[in-house]
Amino acid sequence: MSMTASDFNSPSQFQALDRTALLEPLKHVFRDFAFLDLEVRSPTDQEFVDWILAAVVYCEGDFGDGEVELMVTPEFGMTVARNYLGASDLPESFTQDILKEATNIIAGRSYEILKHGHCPRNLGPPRLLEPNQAMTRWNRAPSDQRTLILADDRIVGGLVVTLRENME
Amino acid sequence: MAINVLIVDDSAGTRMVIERAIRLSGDDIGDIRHAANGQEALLALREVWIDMIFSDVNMPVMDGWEFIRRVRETEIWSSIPIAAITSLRGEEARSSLHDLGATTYHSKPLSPENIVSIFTEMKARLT
Repeated sequence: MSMTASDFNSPSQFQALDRTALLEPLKHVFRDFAFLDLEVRSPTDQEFVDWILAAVVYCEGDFGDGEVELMVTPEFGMTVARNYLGASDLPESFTQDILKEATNIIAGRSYEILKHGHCPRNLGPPRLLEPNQAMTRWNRAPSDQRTLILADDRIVGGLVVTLRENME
Repeated sequence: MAINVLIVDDSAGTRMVIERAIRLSGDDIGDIRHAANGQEALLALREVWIDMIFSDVNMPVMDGWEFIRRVRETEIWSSIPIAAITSLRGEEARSSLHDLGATTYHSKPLSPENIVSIFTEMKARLT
């Protein structure tokens, strides 16, 4: 089953999730994954973002389903890949591969945090998004589902977590 | 005797990280085979004797759940140590993978030190 960002636009489908609970674990993922100390926070309306590299993972479990999208600038994507692989000269395909891997890890962690320790039954596989798809998803997502990732006060990435309740 | 290892993960980068850490462990490492999913991994198992397996769980084509189940159902492979590596951290996943026959369970991301530690733990189980 796949979904689009518009499928998640109805706030009534969402349980009241404490999305601030994601912020610290998200920082830990980047620290463990790529040895990076980053800041994460909610975006403001005035901030312009322009995502080029993006991946999405669909999560499904007994406590709901949804998608997690990680969007990054090319430079940050390359930094994450270099740090994770411990290699300085990488083809672009490796940056995409590592972005998908990072998205998968963040998706699993996000589901477990927001669903109070319950794992998704199905997770992934991650797939890449075109830049225009990524921008559309970012712009359409309600602000409380979006998180900005910053390095040295510069915006380097964003995360959209759209998990909805199992309506059955 | 050299140890043959099978690494199963749909991320080529993660397979590379695991292989490098194993080769730096200082042990006598033989063949290290890579597979991008469970189906490729079953083919690799038929080609060469494998002493231990590092397997991702969430993969396309054939996931780790099905792969581990098939390995454990096949008599000659049934005692090969398998480290299940997953993006999930919860006790539910740990328990399910243990019941399925995974030898050990670990959450991503793994540091090189984690990988060497898993390798050492699994090596101790080799008969």
